[in-house]
Amino acid sequence: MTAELELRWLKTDNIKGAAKRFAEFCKEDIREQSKLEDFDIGKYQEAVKLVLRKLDNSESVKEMFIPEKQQEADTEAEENSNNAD
Amino acid sequence: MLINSLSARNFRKYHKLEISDIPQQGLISIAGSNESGKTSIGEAICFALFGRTFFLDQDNLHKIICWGRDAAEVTLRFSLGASEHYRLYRSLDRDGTRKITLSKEIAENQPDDTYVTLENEEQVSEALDKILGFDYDAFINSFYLVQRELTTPDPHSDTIRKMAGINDYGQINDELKQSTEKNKQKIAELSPEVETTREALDAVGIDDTWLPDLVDAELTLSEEQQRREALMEHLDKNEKDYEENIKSYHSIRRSRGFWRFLSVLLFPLMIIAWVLWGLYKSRPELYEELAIKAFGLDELPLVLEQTSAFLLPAALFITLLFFIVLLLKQKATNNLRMLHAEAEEISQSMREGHRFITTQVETLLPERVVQLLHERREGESTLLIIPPREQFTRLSQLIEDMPSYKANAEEVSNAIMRISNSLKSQDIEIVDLARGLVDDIEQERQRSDEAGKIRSTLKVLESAVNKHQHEIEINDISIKLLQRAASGSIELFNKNIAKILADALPKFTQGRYSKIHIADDLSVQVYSDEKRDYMDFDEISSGTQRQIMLALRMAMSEELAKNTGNEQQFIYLDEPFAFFDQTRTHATLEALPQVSKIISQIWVVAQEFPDDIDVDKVIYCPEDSAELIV
Repeated sequence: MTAELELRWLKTDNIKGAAKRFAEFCKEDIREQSKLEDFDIGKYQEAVKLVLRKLDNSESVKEMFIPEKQQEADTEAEENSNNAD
Repeated sequence: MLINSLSARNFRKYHKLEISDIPQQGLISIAGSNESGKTSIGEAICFALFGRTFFLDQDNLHKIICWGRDAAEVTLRFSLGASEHYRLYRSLDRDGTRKITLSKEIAENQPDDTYVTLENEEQVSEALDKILGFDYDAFINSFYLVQRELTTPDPHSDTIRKMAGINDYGQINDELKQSTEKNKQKIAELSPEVETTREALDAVGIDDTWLPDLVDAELTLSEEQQRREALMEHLDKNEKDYEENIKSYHSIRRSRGFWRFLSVLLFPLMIIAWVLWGLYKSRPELYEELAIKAFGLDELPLVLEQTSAFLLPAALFITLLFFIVLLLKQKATNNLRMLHAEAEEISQSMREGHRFITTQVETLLPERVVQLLHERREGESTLLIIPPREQFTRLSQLIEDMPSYKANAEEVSNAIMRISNSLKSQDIEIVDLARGLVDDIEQERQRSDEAGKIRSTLKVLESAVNKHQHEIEINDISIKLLQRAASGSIELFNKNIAKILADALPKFTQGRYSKIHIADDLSVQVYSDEKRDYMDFDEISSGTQRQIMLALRMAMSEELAKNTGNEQQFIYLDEPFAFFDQTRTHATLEALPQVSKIISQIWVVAQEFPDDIDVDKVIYCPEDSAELIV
């Protein structure tokens, strides 16, 4: 499997702004990085996700407008789901 | 970001300002003479978005309030893409009290009840920062060209970084570094605990193979003991069996000899009887002749003649007798075979007993357990010593002779007794040893449990350390990735700016200038076809300078819009044509809507606009009225 294929989860259509530019850069960058001997695709993907999470603030904007009660309910539901996993 | 509507009360000269039905793309002209309130429209937008204007800082902000009125307010409705609509309200009274709200709308004037309205100034500022992606500084350096100001931002400023889409990189880089520091600190905090736990585990000194060895040894001893007990019970019974069987064996053997003899005797008789009867029946004259000859008479005596009639019953009787004898012989043979089998079984038991007492139990146990047993026991063990061979000199011969009952019953009985005694003493010792091992196992289990708990704690600690270590590694990769991305983004930003300028400049300058070079410090050189060389910015006319700067502003605004996720963006240009002649103004106005697909809603302020320019919305500011509703 090629390194580019490993980043097929990275859909640039769903993101915008700096996050989109960064994602597009990563799709190019991985080709170069994968040629390096000590390249670890798993760690590279984690790093990409970490930076993207920080760059993409669309979710955090949405959260600011969600009523507190619903936020609590959502958090609780998420925790339950995590516990179930 | 596109503006959908703007309304204000008591803002600057306006008691009432309402601008609606604003086209999403195209030219919006704001015309009017001096002091007609053109600039106030831009100020209202800026105040709504950032709570200030270009000309009024926080100390003088009260001057936005219309003379004779207590408070000014502005409501700005804007969209981001097709699905995100917001209503932003901001007010300020003469006491300095501010009010601000930001709410989501389904469409214009239709509040989205699913979401709350943000009313806290800090919250609204944070939300706006995230929604817009640009701050006040970036705004005035891009989408809001203030009257007569036409400069480029500092190349090292946050604005340029925002335009290149890398402004957040610095913050993220700092966050990642902080995270790395925190992780290092956590590791440093955990390390002594990990070390202490490791030492505790070493102190327990658990050997993972010791408990299985002990359990294995105990199981082996237990099995050996059970087998010995079973064998002893068996041997006890065998002793009596052999004594009884040997008598039966000889008696049955004699009987079988008798039945064999009888069968040998009866068989010819049976044959003769059947032959005579056959002859008598098939050839009576021959039978008679033979009988006469046999008895040496002239004629067959009457007695014989009468007797001949009983030949058949006699043959049948002899035959029956013969088969009964055969059956009895076979029964005796079977009994003997059974006795042989029993004797074989007894001899096997003795052989096994012999093997038990001549096999050292320690050879069946793990070496270290044997060592432990040696250390523990005082004196010699019967388990570890092979009984003297002379005790069993005859045993092998006896075992050989037993299946054929040649062995003497008394000798067998003595041998069984000796084996049983040896087994019994071994059994007692095995039970004793096994009991000791059970204690050892219990102790080792407790130690193992203790070690297990420590190991479990150690595992949790090591897992935490590994997690922090992993996060450090991912942070490092992320930081390097960001550095490469930043470098790539700046390169791309420069490339895009040059591309947009190359497209826009000939349109703005009516083909006089087409090539431009922007240095890293954003200083501009323009290629002159006449001089066939690049000219410094101050070598060209101020009108051309402003055209170039306007084109550069458009290019940078497009980049900023792209990198802040604004697929369509408004730009507000207040008096951009101050130093333009009519031709330049005309050319620029015609070119502006074509420069960028992203910078689509273009607000232009000027005292007047040429009549033949296509304008999508006209806003004319009246000189003598405090109301503007368009």
